[in-house]
Amino acid sequence: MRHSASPTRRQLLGGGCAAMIVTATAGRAQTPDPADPWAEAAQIRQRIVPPRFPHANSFTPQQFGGVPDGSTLATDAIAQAIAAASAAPGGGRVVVGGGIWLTGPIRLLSGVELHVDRDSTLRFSQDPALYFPPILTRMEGNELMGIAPFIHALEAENIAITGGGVLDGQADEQHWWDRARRPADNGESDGRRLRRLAEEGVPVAERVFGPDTTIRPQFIQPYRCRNVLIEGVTIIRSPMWEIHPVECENVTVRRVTISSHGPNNDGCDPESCRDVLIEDCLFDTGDDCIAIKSGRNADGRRLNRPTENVIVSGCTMLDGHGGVTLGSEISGGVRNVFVENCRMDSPQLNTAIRFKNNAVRGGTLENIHVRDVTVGQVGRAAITVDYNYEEGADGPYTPVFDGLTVQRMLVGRCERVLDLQGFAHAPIRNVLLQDVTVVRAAEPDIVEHVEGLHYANVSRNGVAVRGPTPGGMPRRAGRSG
Amino acid sequence: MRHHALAASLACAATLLLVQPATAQEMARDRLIAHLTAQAREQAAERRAVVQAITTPEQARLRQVRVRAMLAELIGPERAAGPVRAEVTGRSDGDGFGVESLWYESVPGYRVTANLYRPGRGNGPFPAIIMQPGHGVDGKLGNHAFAANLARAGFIVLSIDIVGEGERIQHYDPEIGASKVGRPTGEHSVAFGQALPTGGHVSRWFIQDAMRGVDYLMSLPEVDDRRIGAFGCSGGGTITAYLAALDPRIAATATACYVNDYDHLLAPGGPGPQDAEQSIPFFLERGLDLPDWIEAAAPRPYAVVSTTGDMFPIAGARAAHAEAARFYAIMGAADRITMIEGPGGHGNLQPIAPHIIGFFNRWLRDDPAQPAFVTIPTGDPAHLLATPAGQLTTAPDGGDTLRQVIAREAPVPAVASADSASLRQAIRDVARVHVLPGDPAPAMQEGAPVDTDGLRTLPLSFAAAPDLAVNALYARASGRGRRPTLLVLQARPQAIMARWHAAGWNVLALEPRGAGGTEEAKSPLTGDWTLLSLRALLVGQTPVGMRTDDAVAALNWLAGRPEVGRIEVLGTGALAPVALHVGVLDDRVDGVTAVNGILRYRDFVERPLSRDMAEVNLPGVLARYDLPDLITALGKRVVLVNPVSSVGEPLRAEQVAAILPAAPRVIFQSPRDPILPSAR
Repeated sequence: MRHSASPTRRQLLGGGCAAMIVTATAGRAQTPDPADPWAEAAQIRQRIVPPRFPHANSFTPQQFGGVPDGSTLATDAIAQAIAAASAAPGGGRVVVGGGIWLTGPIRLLSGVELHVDRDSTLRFSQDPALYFPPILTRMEGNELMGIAPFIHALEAENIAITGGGVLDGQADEQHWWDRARRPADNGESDGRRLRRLAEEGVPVAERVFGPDTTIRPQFIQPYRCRNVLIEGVTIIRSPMWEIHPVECENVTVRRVTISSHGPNNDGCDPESCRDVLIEDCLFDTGDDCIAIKSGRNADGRRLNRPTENVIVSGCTMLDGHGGVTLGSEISGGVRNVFVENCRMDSPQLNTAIRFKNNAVRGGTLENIHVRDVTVGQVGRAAITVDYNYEEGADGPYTPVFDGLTVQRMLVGRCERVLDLQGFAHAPIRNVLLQDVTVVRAAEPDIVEHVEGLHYANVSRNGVAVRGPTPGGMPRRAGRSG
Repeated sequence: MRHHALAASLACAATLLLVQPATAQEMARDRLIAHLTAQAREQAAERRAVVQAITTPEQARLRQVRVRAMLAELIGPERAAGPVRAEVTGRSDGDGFGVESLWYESVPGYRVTANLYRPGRGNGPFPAIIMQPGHGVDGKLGNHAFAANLARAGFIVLSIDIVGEGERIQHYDPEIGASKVGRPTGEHSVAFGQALPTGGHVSRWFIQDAMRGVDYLMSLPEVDDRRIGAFGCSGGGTITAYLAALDPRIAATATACYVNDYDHLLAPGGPGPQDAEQSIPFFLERGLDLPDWIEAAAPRPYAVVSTTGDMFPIAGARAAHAEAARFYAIMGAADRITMIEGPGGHGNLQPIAPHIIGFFNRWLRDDPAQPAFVTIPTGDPAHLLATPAGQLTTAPDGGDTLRQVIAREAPVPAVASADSASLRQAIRDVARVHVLPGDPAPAMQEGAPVDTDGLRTLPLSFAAAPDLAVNALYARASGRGRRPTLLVLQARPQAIMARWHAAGWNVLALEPRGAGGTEEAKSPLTGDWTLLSLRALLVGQTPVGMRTDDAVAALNWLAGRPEVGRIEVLGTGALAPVALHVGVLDDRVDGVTAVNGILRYRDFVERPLSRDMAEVNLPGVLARYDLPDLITALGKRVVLVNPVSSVGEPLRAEQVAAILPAAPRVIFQSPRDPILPSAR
């Protein structure tokens, strides 16, 4: 399907060069061609297979007394339908149809597809009390016993959320979002307390945050699950992050539309996951559209699970902080991320590709590849690698960044092309820009402590450039990028 | 209310049909059109209620989110992005403007030809407009004068050829120097048919062409990328509307002689469905209507441009504008939508050109001027062409055709499940089959027996829907006891009926839904289901699915008859795939005979050109199954008689063997040979 679009790329991948590589790697069948990192992406894609569910085993909340009238709480009816589908041989589907369903938290069990019909809405109650007792969850990279995510699953296999319907979190300035701005009563906010408990190594079972918490629920959070599919749904008005798979394997998120502009409204944040495909989604969010993570600080190092093998393809990013972000909670490391065929455009979008890290998080970011991306406009740098995020250099850990290729990126307008801020003792390594066109960059680049920055066929403001345009003044970026 | 009255009158008509001889009956096509139109009105009314209930900006924004999600689902947008590969092939100067001829790639290897008009004065950066032509063979040449006027007013204009037009004729035949398919609407109908089985809608490539055009404009440093507008008339207005809804970079939009609503388009006496790229399968069923294209672009400035004598009724344009204006007002942008009405027929823009240019002046140049339209002759078109001989398909390096791009992206499914339950589910999902084997038998009305050439037939009729009668002829075998029974699906069943009846069979011949009559065929190759299939698809029905429903309903009736023994189904031509579907869905069918039928939907995608696709085509079928899967599932129950290629030509034995590895029973015989029960 794809043609090589430029002679440069052909030179790089083609001819005698490739033949030499074949010789060198003979006998190592699994090793992808190092000249084309995207061969690895193809292997990953082949491996990611969404689960399937027997349509014959179909259940509805109505069978268990649920009423789709938008006001009768259907939490129990949905739970019973899920239990029945999970108990069916080979699993089954729970079809949520017929109107507007009001519910509390939904726990998915192994073998269950939660299918929200096109004309139906799953509306999550604004009553926080429904989301307790506390369960194992994760908030911004830290584990806790806290408020249940709207849709969650723990150590389940073969689970799905599908259908053309709407998942409505009902968050607004009076519900959930207000918690982000509520001042702490006793000088320490719940978020801060959680981070402190995690740093102090307090066991997760003792990090309990009860119904009076200001910690907001994640929307969808499969935890330590295998074979996860989220497809077709529209997600609106989310309290916190929207799709947050944690320590999951074989995850497909496709044709999902997310529009939610509250605080910390990240679109899709795979954390400590392996083999993730995010495809044909639309993100219109209040924070990062996609943010790839692997735990925060001590928790990240304790759990020590990187996110690896992620493909982002065919997505549209409108508003948001970053189009595709890695970080900041990446203490467990992130590797093998492939982004292609995306469109990013909004004056409210800050950066297209962004990496956030610092000396408190640590963590290794490596083998990241981006190609065939159109960026209409972004408010700040098109590509940001920032070690000065939040705590910045004030910490004992050494961030590692090694290997980013950006091929065939078109940027209409940005503040600057690059904002790369490494540390003197921990430089950012090996960044390649190839066949990149930036039409209107207002400011010179910020490039600090970068080793191995390569330009090939890059044009900036109508002029071919062989390297960054010096003169940008480094400054610490805010949370929003 | 009106559609209820319509439905009631149709119900009366259905009752009358039963006692009327066949010749005096309303054509099945007319009945189907009325039924689909009533359904369309109902769906449009439901949608209108949803839109009318919106009163706050947040509700309006959420509606936009839903509409955008549905559009993405229905169209399946192209995703190729990044720097645009392009080449300027020529330059010329006019009075107060300059023109470049160029091509750019829309998806890798697939080219769009275009002209770029530049203002003759000033240094820029200039606001820009992407301009798309209506259905004209000359494509962008038809926009020359308007583009030049916009350039003289201070805009950079990218005037592109829509696929099937200008230098992008897809089925250009050098021997005749024109498209062998016909006019651009025919080219689009063919492309629609080729794309349909791959899922989504053919407009995805039209939209991609335009979005890549915006990428190209955005890549020009002399363009003010935050002031890019879009303008087009007729078919160009359609893609302009699509582009504005889906590309947030479009800062101001004028769509001319396109905006309307389906109530007015589909109403009796109305123009009916528009062209293939203008009719998106399931659009009405999903609660969408044409004003949604405008509302999706709110609150960005928008001009609805219409002429009072257009074949697209002005009342529809006004209704659409009124609805969209309310939507804009809810979003606090009442001043950003306007209606520009002019005199005359379709495409008569010259009298209102100053208003159109003034609209773009106001929103993209902060200038209230409405400059007078200057007549600018095109002269020798050669100076505007991007290819040496005026066609990409004959250019030495013209790139791929749309059909090749479609084929490249067609889904390649895993082998369809041998498990009959999932294959049946796939059929129901794809063909939209609703009637189940074993459903209550339809109430069958009997007319008076008719004797023709010694065969006594009983006219029957049942209601497939409250407002839709399906007629049939039944010839009951003589003698007592259960007899083998044939359900015939073909347009002229008399000969088959006589022969099988003589052989001792009960024969029920079902009038194929939508049979008879004719509507405008967009091309001699696309057949007279071109528009009828669009009308059906808009409301969520498929030709194959509707006819399968009728057949299964007929089987439900037959199954309760004391004289009916084993049952076979015979379908001919476009009804052959229907017979295959019925056979797989219904275990009561002991045998299926498919006569002169196609064998593969994938051929629509892989062959350069196919004929009469509309009557048998199925949206997205290739992702789920194909006809060989049905033939395999039927096994020994199926006999294929004289199978044909997708062009309708007979296939040879080795060609059939290559398509059908399962090697079903195939009979090759002269078209003049009768088809008899003994053939089985």
